[in-house]
Amino acid sequence: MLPRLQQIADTAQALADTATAPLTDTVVAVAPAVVPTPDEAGSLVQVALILGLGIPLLAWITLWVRSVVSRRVGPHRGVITGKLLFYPGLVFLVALVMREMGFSLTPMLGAAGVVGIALGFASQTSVSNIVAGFFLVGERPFVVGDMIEVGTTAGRVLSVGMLSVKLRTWDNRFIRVPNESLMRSEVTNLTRFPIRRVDLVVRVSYDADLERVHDILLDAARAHPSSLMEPEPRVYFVSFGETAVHVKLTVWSTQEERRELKHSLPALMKRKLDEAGLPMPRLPGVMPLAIDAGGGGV
Amino acid sequence: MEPWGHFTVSEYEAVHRVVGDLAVHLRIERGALVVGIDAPVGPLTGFGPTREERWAAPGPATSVEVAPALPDRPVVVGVRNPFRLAPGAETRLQVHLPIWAQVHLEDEERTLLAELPSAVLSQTWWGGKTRGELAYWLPAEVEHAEADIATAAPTRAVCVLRIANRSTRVLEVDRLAIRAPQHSLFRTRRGFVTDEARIVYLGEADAAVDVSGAPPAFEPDAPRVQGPRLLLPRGLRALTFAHLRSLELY
Repeated sequence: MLPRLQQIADTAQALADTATAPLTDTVVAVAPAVVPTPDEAGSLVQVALILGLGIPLLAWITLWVRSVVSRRVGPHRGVITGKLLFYPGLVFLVALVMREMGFSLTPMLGAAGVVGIALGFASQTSVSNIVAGFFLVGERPFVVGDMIEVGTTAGRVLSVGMLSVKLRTWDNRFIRVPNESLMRSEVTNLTRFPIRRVDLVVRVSYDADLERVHDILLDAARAHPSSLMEPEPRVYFVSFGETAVHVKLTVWSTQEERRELKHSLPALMKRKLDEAGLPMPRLPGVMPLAIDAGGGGV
Repeated sequence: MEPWGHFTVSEYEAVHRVVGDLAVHLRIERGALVVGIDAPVGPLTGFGPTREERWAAPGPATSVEVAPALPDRPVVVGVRNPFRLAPGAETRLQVHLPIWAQVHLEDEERTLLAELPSAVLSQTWWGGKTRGELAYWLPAEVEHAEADIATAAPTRAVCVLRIANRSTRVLEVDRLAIRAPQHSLFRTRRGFVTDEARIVYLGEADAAVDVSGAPPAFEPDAPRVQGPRLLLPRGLRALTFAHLRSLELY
């Protein structure tokens, strides 16, 4: 500690002793005027400079690096790079300020080690989330804006943070998924590739001409405005069921139009089969037309 | 009758133009300019019988232009008469592309009110399943025509492609991607013609494409009615043939 600070502390102690002394003993103590010496004034100016210039400069550099990384690599990497730059920078500035104020950093680092161990035990989950966050950023299984499925949860990625990933579900719920859970679970990225396949399983009567069914289903797929001509739609035989033959129509569409295709193509297929005199067999309590979502029901 | 031209729309005067399989109609109704597109009734969704949009009318009488344009996406031609090109050989092809109609307000900004195709084309994907682009699908015959250019229908444009095989293998052409947004459209005495594209096939997964940007040689003074929607960087490798789909697109 600075000698001048020690002197001020001694004076304060003397005043405290005076206040507790018996009233009969009149002690007159005159506190010396606290006027900073030129050295102290210099230190205070340096502290003010470190805080006044250092923090805005650090914030500006962080924002700049974040925007550059976001532009070149992706927004979530930009956010994480910014945090990785800002917090160590802030710790460095605080250490500089404390040194200027005369605190020795060596015992503080020792104390920080002890506190660190205690905190480490207390925050194992957070640390594992942070480590998982680094892996997520490195591996990049999804980016902000992608639609993902984790276990039973599916939604659009709003942000990828150091501790968790935030999702917005289809019915507009906000879900926070800890990074550690993402590392342990199977994550399906539903929008990674620009096109996807819709699979529709149809039950056909044993009396029906399967070649005709094949042609009708392909016609229906090609007639739909949301289906793609290439990759080509295809019809596959699936199985001989107890009451019907099961065939599968696979159709490709863009991500944007997949939902429209998935919901309106079955009606078109049914209409075309009905028009051709090939109605799908009915069973009480059994859906005549089953839809296999084909890798994610969304 | 050609659908193209300049028209005035007022409360007393509606405009109705048939553009191939579709039609556009414009009228002013209670101060709003109504732009409607009639399309053939589709299977269930997508193409409705009529789709209308209302715009705030700039005045009681509004000038509009119905102008021709090339498609806004690449057109993948499913060649009905596929052919082979021997190493070192060269051919000149013609393909008739459907023209799009653009309805513009005749103001300073030339505001685009509507755009409709003259033929309803299916969508297709050009490229791999992990990377590629959305395109229109046009099953068509290609004509091998060394010199002459066929006369195009009023809502079709003749696109001329010169293909050279500079590789050591036979080039099989059964799919062909025409980069419509990068072509210009010219009005000639024989109808609409695009600028010529020269495609040089260099081998396994390599082709170079150059779009001339110039009017056809038989009518060098032909007016340009539409410039390219997208500029094609010079010397870029192209994805033009079906078996080059893993290539980066131009």
